[in-house]
Amino acid sequence: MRVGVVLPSGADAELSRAAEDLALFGVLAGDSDPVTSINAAIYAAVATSAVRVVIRVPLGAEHPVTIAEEVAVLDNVSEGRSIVLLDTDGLGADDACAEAGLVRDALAARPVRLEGPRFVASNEPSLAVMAVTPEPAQLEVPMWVTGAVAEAVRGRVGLALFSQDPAELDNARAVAPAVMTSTGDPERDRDMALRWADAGATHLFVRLCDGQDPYAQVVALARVVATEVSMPFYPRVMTEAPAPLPWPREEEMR
Amino acid sequence: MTTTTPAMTFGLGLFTAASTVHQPRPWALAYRDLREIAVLAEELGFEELWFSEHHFFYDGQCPAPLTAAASVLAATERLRAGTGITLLPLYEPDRMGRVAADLYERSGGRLDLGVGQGFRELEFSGHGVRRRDRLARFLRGLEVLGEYERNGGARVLVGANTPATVARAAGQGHPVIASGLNPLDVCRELVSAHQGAWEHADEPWPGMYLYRNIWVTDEPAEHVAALDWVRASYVQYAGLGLTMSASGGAKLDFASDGDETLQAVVDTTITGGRDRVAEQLADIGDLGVRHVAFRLVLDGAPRAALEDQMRVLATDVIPMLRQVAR
Repeated sequence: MRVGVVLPSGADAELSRAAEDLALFGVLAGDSDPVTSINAAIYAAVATSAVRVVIRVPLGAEHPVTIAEEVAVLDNVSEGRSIVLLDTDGLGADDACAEAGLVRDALAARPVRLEGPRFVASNEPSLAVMAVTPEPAQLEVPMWVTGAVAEAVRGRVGLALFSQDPAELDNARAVAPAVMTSTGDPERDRDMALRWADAGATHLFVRLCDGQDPYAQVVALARVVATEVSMPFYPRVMTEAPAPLPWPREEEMR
Repeated sequence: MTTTTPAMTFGLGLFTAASTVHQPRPWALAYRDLREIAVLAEELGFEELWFSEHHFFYDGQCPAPLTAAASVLAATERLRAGTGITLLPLYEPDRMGRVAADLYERSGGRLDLGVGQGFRELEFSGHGVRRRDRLARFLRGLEVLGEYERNGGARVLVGANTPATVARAAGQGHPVIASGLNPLDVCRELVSAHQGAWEHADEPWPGMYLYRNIWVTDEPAEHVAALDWVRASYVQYAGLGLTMSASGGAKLDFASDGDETLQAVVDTTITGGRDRVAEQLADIGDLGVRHVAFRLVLDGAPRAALEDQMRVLATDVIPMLRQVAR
């Protein structure tokens, strides 16, 4: 199982860089303010070059095509590292499924017919179909779903559920993402993460604990939690052994 | 040379991250280029980068200029970024206001928000908006964004190219950003209309923002190539079906009058050696234009040529203007 961090408000670039330096899998941007998540995700993407950037996007606040276009730009800025986490909160199941389906279709490399209540239809052939450009850098942008009617979107649109309870995990899928909240105690977090791994989660994001240094928490996540779930029966002696000495000239060479 | 250039600022545009038929490139590399050019622009002392917006076009020109602006603001420390323009009727204004306010805050106030109405039918229908509703949606959106601006948010500029629309923007207290397509006599009319209507507002007149096609060169072959790059760039507008008001009540119609219209646009290009270009920029300053965005992103111009122009403008031409002004 891979471990990532939910970015707290106000430190998107710095904590993303720290997560990358510590080899975490990814960062989740915009969790504290999903409406402006595109900015947080872009700042995280520009600050890094390898971690995955998950953007939490609320459905219903903007037209699905606009959401798809912003994600397409994010995916190119990040050079193919974006993942979309759709948040259904505030929408009923039918609307959430329709909007999620449109975001997915608009990000695919085929034209979208302008039919249904979210478009203006036309009999003029050139006004009846469009293709979102630029296309994403990735072959297919991974899309996950969370929120009150996420289960309906999972079933009807086929997106992966962003699980908050191990009992929700869908082990039939190659990717089963999940989120947990840190207790502030790395060893307790490690035990919780192990339970997620045992349940079949593949990618676990951790919300940091309020009131503690976020950077120190990311270090602990990388050293204590991510290593522990990186293989079955991780030999903990490696985490518990002293770290190798730093290069004495490191400061000088910077 | 007589000039009011001390108050002038200079930016660069119009960035689209497009991959065109004659200058193809992977979009991911286009966005990487954009960040690298922004860093260079900041080093050279340019004030601002401007981004345009179109949708569903083959070249992938940026459909989300606020997002592109965010990528540049994240990569720089002093450079401003502006949407020039974003198509306000296509968006939910409350959400755009929040996104812009957040970006303004996280960038340390380096965002300018240029907005316009748009013209291309497909761009409206593909976002579920009837084109005939665009003015009502634009005015409603302007109210919402204006409220964010009054509360300390990003400055809102209006893209306008007729005396009537320019005067309306001035009456609402918005600076105006005008197209590079306008010849100087039209620019003079626009400045006059904006300044006249601004008399009623509380704040001092902010001056006009103006795009300008420009290329500095003494070399005949480069001169010819640069004008051809301007032509090639505006062929994109033929593809987009743009028509626009022009001098003397005429219309620029890229779709129907291709060659004639393209030549009229090419003729607006400021070109020549350093002295000649500086003189022409001073003339623009004398009109009352306070902010010029050099329209250097031209179809066919390689990145090395763009960077060369940035250096020439920053190290030779702009200092000449400042020196004369002193």
